[in-house]
Amino acid sequence: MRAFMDARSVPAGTTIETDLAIIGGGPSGIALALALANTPIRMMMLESGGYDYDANTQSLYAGTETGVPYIKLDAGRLRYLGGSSNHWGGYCRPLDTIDFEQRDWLPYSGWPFGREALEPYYARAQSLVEAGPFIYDDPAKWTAALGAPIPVGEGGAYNTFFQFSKQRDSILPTHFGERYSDDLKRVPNLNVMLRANVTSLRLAPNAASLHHLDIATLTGKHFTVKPRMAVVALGGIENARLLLASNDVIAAGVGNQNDLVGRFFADHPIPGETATIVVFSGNIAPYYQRPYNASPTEIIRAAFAPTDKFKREKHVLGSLATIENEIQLDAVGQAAVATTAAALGVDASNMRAYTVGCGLEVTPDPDRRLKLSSVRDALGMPRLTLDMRLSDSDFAHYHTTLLELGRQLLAAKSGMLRINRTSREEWMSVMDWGNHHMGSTRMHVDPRKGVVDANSQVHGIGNLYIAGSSIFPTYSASNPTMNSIALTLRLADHLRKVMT
Amino acid sequence: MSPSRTIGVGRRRFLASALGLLGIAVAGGAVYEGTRLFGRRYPRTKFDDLLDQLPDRESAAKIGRAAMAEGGSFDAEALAGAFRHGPSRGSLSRAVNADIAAGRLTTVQGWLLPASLVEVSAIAASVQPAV
Repeated sequence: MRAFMDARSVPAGTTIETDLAIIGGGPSGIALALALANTPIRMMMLESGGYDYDANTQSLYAGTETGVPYIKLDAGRLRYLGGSSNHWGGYCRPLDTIDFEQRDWLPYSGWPFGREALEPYYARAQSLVEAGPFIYDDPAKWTAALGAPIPVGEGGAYNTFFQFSKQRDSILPTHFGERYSDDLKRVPNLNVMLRANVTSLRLAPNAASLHHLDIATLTGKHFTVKPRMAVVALGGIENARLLLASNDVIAAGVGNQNDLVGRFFADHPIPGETATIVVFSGNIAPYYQRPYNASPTEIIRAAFAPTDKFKREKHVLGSLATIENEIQLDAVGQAAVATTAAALGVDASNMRAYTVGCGLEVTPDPDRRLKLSSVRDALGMPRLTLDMRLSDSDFAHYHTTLLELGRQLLAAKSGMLRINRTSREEWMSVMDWGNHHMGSTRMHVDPRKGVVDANSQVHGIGNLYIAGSSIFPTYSASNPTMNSIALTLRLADHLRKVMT
Repeated sequence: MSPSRTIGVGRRRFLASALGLLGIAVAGGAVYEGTRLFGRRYPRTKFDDLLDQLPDRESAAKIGRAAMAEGGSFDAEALAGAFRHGPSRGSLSRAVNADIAAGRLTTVQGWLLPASLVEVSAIAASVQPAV
């Protein structure tokens, strides 16, 4: 096993050469390093943090926010080995087919490829997040053993399933740093350097290639890493920051010739108690309310989602609605249930009611944007400012899906629905966020519309790539970690081809 | 045991059984009458052909009042007429199922309800005083 290096012990002014620099030791960086293990490619992973949380390192993330209330930029992510997997929730679900499609009714939509391009990588990504066999929407085994899903009949909403990263001692999920440290140490063609902050991507004078990386430590050391190729894997916010801050050759920043870096930033809004669901029979399977151990290797949770067909027909975005806490109904609610159940001819004497939470996909918005501010951090890098926005149409999409779910519950005579939020003020009053940072270095085959191409290469810079959910052009409602790892494994295959 | 004694016992059993059945019948009748006397009874209205399809008129009236409080405009006479002569021919069950299939849902305090159910509930509210 090869011990990790500490950047603080590197002599100032040193230049280290390597084949591939992996900038960032989060899930994408770690997945990439493991995927390229035992190849002729000499790799160096540069991680800002150490093994554990450190307040001074974490404070490098601080920034400012304007627009709709949003989580502070140094609170929704973690800057040490394993990155934000150190506090993720473990929710996994693949992207839907429609997520890759260009939709006339959704501006800026369309990936350069379809879901089939990720299919070969999902099983390995699933393995890396330790979420058990890749099953998701083929849950017959679970439902046979644990009870059927709530009937919703035919229509635009259906029961779908999350799977979860492995549970250890009741703590979800896989923390990539802790889990894969020893595996990384066993990779013979990899050096991992901790406490190494990449402060600038230095381009060649012709701006066509990356020349070297500036490295700094919080102890004041400065040195250089000179790679043949580099992959920026710093997370959905910091990827944009590093590109924007690297502005000595291209004044607008690396990859930002078309003013796209930092734009289209996205997260999943998670408004609480968006609806109330009543189940007439009072029986719901145990996999609805919380992650449930369906087997020693399978943790699952059911949710309601719009079908791709419904999304296309009604022009709605994705959403994943989950059943949360049991509640008691007020007098009107009880009357509504009694009257409706009687009209449907069903027995609701044992009915139970629950709140409904959700995660929402948002519309791509170029003005939802990360920009550099005039404030600098302890390493001299400009801090970020985020203009966070949320369109009323994003709520309207989910409202349309709830209407259909409510109709289907009635049609199936299984239950009914109350929509709890209608105004923007009501939605915002219960707003939380997924901390799923996406979109700020989006992928598109046209450099006027995307920062990276279909191979995740920064347009115009032959040896610089980006990994992670910052390259998502649209965002789905699915949680990004497992999907961005699948994308990273695809990038690893590409790098193996071009570098060996 | 003599046959006559057997017959004698049989008669007593027969009489006991007959009295038992009579008792049950009387008790059953009392329950029936009690239900008629003490169960929910409503003054006759011109909408009873519709309202009698609601097993719990008070609950429905709550829905109707909530719908009217949200600004719904309900003319009980017009609603009843349309309901009786509409495609469902006055059948609440048929109307409700048709509404669900067609997505004709009305929101009352956020609850997604079949439109016709809300209309009949509004009729119930129009004849049912708030408690």
